[in-house]
Amino acid sequence: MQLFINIVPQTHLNWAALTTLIGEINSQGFASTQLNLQLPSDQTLSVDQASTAATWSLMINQSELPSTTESYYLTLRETDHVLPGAFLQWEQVSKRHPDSLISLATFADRTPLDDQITTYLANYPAEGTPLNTQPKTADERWIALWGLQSYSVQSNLQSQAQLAQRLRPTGILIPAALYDAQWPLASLSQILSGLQKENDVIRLHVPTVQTRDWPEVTPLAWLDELEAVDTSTLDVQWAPIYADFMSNQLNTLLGVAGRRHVSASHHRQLLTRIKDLNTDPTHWWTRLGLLQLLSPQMAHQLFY
Amino acid sequence: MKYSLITPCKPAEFPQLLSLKKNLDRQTSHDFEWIIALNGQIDFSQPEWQADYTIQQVEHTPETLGAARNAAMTLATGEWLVFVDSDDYLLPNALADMDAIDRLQPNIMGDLNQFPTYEPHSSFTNSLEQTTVHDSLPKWGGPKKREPKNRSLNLPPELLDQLPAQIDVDPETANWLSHRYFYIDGDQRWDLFNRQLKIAGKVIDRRLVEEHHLQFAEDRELYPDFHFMTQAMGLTTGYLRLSEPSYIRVKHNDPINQPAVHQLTVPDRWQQRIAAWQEALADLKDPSLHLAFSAYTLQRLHRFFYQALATSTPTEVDDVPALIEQLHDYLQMVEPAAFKTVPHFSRRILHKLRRQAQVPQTAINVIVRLRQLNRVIHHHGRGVTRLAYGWWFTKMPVKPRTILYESFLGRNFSDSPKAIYNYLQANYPGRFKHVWIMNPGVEETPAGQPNTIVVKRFGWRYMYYLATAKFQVINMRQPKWFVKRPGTKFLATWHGTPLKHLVFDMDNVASANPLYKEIFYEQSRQWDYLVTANQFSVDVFEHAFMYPVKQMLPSGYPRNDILSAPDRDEQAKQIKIKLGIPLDKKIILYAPTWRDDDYYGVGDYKFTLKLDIDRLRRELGDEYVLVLRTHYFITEHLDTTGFGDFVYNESSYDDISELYLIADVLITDYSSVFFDYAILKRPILYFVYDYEKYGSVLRGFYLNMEKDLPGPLLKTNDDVLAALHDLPAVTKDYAAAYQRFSERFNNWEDGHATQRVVDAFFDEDLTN
Repeated sequence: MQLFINIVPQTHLNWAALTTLIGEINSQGFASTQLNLQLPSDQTLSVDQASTAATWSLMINQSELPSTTESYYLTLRETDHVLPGAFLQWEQVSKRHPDSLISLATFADRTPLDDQITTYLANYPAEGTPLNTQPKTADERWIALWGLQSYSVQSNLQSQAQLAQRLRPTGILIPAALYDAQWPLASLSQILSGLQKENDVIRLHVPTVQTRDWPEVTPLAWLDELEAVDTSTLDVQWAPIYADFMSNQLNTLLGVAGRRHVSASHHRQLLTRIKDLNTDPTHWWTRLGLLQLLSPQMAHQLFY
Repeated sequence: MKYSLITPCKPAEFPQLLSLKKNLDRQTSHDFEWIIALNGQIDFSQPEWQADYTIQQVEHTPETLGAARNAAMTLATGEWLVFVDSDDYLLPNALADMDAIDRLQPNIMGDLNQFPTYEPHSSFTNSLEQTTVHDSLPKWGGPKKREPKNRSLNLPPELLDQLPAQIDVDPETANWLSHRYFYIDGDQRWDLFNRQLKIAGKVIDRRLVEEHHLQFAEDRELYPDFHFMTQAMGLTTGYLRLSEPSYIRVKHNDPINQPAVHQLTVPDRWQQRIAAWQEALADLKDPSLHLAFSAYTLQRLHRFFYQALATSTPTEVDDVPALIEQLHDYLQMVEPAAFKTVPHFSRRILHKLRRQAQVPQTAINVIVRLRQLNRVIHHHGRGVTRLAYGWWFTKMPVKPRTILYESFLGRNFSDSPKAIYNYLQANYPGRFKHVWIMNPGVEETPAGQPNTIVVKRFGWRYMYYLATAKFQVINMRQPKWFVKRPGTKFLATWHGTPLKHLVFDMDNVASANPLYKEIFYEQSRQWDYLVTANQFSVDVFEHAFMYPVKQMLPSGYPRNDILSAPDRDEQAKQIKIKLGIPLDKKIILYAPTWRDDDYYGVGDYKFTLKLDIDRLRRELGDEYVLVLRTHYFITEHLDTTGFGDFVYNESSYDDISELYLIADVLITDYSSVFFDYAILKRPILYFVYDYEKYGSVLRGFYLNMEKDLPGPLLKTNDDVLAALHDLPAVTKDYAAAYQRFSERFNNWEDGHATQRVVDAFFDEDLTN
């Protein structure tokens, strides 16, 4: 397995977070890894940062991707975390299903990782195994977590219930064979292209990364992503599925943004843009449905 | 030597032994010997028997499974005995994976982890060659709910390097991370009891077996394993099963010709089972195992015994009083605490049987009925009409002049049942009451015609008439729960000359329902007559349906009488008017088959017309129109709006015979429609654009598509257009082939098939 990790800044590049992430990646001890930082055009690195990046072998805005049959591309944000042993687990799955998209389960960024792992281990007791069911140290917890690792081959690709797991720019391993050069690597269109070509997706069940939720942390960026999909290029079967997905995601955005994760001005901006989209809501009694009946200003008063 | 593989085999099963040999050759570890217990000669000098592991054969008496395994065990020299049945197979890593587990010690019972399937080894191996995926398993053959979804992931030992150096990882855990298994001992030792009891795929220490003289029961035709397995379980302290399935247990889908041991019809099966339980339970010293085995046997009685004794089901149990006496004795041995493991109502029955050796018939009937009712309640009332059918309608008197018709499972008013119905209405008006089964939403039905009623499939009236009509005229299959009542007559008209292999001619994988062959066999035994279109069909049905020739009606198809009718030109004109097709236009009928490998997802089939309709319209639009007739699955996906008045999509049209009648030329491919169309002696073209791809399918055809057809095989649109532009040349070139074809397949079609069928089937009921 040859990994090409594409790092996209969440907003303005958080150098400290990037340093942590690079440290986590390097501690995986995985030789065949290439790192790329996809910097927006309005951001640049300082001289010191560029020098450090060079010592990390971090490429900047590299457009040429490795294309061997064993290559996989993964997009992460610099604020994401890679858990110990992640790459080796991915490699094992990729050996079994060489040409499939691999959807990674994630821990959220909201609560401390240790707490999440403890809860996870309590929810999935390791029966019939020699694992320590009540690990005390952090290292014992890693072993217990690795011990629970499993995967499934999911062929219900068009299921709305699980689409949000698969249809996201970060946290999906894309095999080189499925990469479509006409779409940006970190985009929904890229994943949609893969989903349309394949019959199944591999889901790795135990989290190996810790990520931030796009709708929650960067709702406007998530809206950009949703809007960027050119629905006219989708298969006949996928167009209505994406329309439903979009409607569900807009509704999620309205719900999450209303919890004051964004400023009032960003909230109004979000409402205006969503209203302008004229997307039919799946259900009229949802926030998206209500927004169709109200002005963005009034909706802001109501939802925020 | 690490492993001794023990395989009992009957002489008739010898071919599958060779398959297993090829399978074992693929094992990644060859540190094993293979001992075959077979009464017969294996010529080990033959190339196919050469191997880089030892193969030995041993004969045995008596000729029982138990004796076979015992004989094989006497030759074993490996550390571990591995029990592999001759019809099963192993995944390539099975033995290596087991070997890599440090936890497997002599006091542990190993299990390669059974995976049930109906897919034979050869088919699975072929499918492996077409994939890059490295965790393929055959198609799941167990209950749908139990299909394993999650696959465990062995992780490389390097993973532990990512932990701080001072961390001391327990070696067992380290080994387990790289070689996953499921292990139970102590209080959980008897969990999954049923799985632990199954001999196939078990790995047991040979010295343990020898030291304790463990033997399979040699004098028992069935159930020779209980004593051996329970003793082996008692002598081991833990049960270890590979996390991933690696022992593939091939279930038999043809219990008629190749029954597995558990599928054999044995009237004293229950007696043998209980005797084996008695023998096993008597020798169990460990109290917890005694209790676990008692509970296991009570669960088996609870699940299966009552159905066998209920008066509502045809019983195949031999000598019930003796069986009850035996069960009464057995229940005295059972641990009293085990009774608590079965539900209350069932427990009461078992307690009664324990107290006295008498069948509590009423209680048994009630529990069986309650289970049926429970099923209906669980399905929110679905199946309640069927329950009424079984409980009440089949007890009502048979109606001597009622005929029940069904065509294509109620999808339309068509085919031979329609021809028979029309004939009876015309020639015996008022003599019978006609009941047609139709699905809701069908537009053309015989409702409103004299003495005719239409009933909804699976509705209340359907169940009533299914139970009480004296005559059933059906062109596919009746429901599997249909009860053939004395005095009723069943006419199976079937629905075409067979082109693709049917039922018993199909290989093991092809059937959708694994029980298809058995169910079909039982259903076809209920047919009093089977209508056949030609001698070819008679010959095929004899082996494909295993149906007796003397019950076949050599009549020709009633549905095809319309194609030989003296007024067929006038009828064709009327049909054209009905469909709105201009009378001055000739008609091309395009009837392709449905490709089941061409779909988007479950129930969502692709259909792209490979025939270039635009070009047909450009070049032939002045003279012809195109009538499309496709499979009903894809009817709704067709969009022909762009082709104006050139294309008529008649995929939903009820009666295809009427479309034959108006068509001047037929274009088809692998569909059997051409057998009927050939009666008209009009040109037939075969547009087989994917002929090469269809190679494997064509091997499953009764006809040689290269030699036997009455028209040309055309692979491109250019070829089709060229043929359509010069149909007289096609007719001339294929005149001799057409003649041969007609003599072979349409010799009986003289326009009087319906009369022959009606006279033979209804016989005296037409006049008395």
